[in-house]
Amino acid sequence: MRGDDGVGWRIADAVAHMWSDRINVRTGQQLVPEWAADLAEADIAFLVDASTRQRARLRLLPLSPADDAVVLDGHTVQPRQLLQLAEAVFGRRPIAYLLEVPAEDFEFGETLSPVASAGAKRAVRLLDRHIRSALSVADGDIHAE
Amino acid sequence: MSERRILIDPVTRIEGHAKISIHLDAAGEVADARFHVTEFRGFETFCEGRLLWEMPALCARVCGICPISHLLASAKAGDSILGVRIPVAAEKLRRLANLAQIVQSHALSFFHLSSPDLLLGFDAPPETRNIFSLSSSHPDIARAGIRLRGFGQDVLADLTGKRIHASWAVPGGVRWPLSPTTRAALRARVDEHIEATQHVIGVYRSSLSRFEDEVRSFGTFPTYFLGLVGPEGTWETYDGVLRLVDAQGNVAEADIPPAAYAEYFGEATESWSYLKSPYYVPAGYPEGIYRVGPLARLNIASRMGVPLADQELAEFRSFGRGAVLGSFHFHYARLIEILASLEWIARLLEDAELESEDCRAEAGINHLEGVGVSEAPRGTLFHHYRVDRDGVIQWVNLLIATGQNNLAMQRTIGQVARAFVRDGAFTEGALNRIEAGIRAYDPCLSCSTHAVGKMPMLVELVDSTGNVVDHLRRD
Repeated sequence: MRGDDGVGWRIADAVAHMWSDRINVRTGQQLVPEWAADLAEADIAFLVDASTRQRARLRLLPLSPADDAVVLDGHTVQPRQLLQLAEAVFGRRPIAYLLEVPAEDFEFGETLSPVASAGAKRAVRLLDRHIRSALSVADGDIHAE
Repeated sequence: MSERRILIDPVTRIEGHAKISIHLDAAGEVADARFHVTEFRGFETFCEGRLLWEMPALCARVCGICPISHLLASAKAGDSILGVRIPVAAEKLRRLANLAQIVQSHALSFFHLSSPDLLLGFDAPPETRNIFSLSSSHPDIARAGIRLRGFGQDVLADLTGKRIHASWAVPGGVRWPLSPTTRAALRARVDEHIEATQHVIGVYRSSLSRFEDEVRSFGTFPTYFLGLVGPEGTWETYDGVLRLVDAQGNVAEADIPPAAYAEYFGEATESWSYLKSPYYVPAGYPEGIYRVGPLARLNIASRMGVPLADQELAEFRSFGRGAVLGSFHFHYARLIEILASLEWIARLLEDAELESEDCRAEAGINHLEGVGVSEAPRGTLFHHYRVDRDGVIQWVNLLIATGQNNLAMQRTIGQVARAFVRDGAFTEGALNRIEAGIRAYDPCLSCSTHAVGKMPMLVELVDSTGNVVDHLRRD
């Protein structure tokens, strides 16, 4: 409903169609604490969101857990807090990345701006490469055993 | 000592924005305490001119924690205006959604917002009163809480298509049923959560002896209690009739048709808050103070209707004579309702009728007024609409659960403040207890402040020494 704010959702949908039998995809208006349970079961996680920085570029950033305990109210959880929660409560967390997608228009609407649309296409290609690489490593390990 | 005011602003670990002001007299004793709700939303006004069929999706956006409650109450108001009896499958599907909503909302309230106080202590250092510390001291409870809320959210996502702000319930029924594979998959997950909830109830009950002071002072006073009941007084969350009981547990009003609510319950306004103050009209204002929500529902119900929760209800009743009066026991009631909801969800998910494609009745406008009532996690919720012959909304009244607890919340913070603020001195633990008195009600302030342009406003500018240096008033 808020224009480019939906770019993460569209990227997740596209990737889910490509890899539905090999990966788990979660989409939502915001990160929620219960996704800590899903993260704790994952080996690698990509958190995808629109960047609110002006003239942003597509960026894949390693994520580490937050180191200060904050109150979670169920409305907003930051990516690093979610990792921290997974580790604290479930004893495990994945290798995690934040994929920031360039965006410029957050007004009411259901379409992406040209900037976000181009960013989404590049993001899908980037995620496809990383997922393919991660799965080939995993499959290779299984065959080696 | 001159009069002083203590401000807690904002109140933490609640949904929405509020502040509490405590007024001390010259002797440093608590003279008055007020709960100010500082936000307003205005749904009652800006929904005028919208179409009836838009209302459930619009009103779901009153809240991000309990959108299903508004979706269902709005859809039921629409059912009434269309003059339809919805298909059996639609009622069962709506019930399932409401129960899942109760599970996830109560889990959020208990595990994320309140359990740090209850399991780590009200005097624990503030920086430790969170779920991260809980994961060290009570890892099984932290895990259970996160998984429980996740389960409730997953049921809602699978059923309605979205975790929040779904548009699945409509006047006449729901838009689609449950698939066989989804029904089976969800049913397979319920039992672990029933077991986990029983464990948490046991831990909680064994910790209650540590909170005698809080049990005594967190809203322990006589009020009426209101909620829906089903046949034979069974605990009810979706439909049924309204029942009001008094502090002795006697039925004051039985079998009130939901559509007649306005004959029994009025709304007063106060200058210091955007939150209105509903009251039981025959008893007058403010003597007609009543409470809604988990504590009320367990006080008015004759039985839960499911075996494990019925056992817990019997145990719960031992905490009162007639009705359980202490608002501290909202927490206990909340846990029992999670258990009851899970048992009812398991029962519903055994029913293949949830897969029926016959889940929506079609009709035009047959009545120009309709009321929809359901039990939100926080209490009884009323949506009351008037439309024209084209279904254009002419008038809306929303009577929200949290608003109905407003008078009780005001009285609670006064009681807590008098118990823990002495000689003008207060500790961080005392302030936390005052906030916790509000938190026991699990207020949803974004829901409850939906009227615009009706409130007199007083804005006070208070300097660092507590003096009011300027004010603005709109009457």
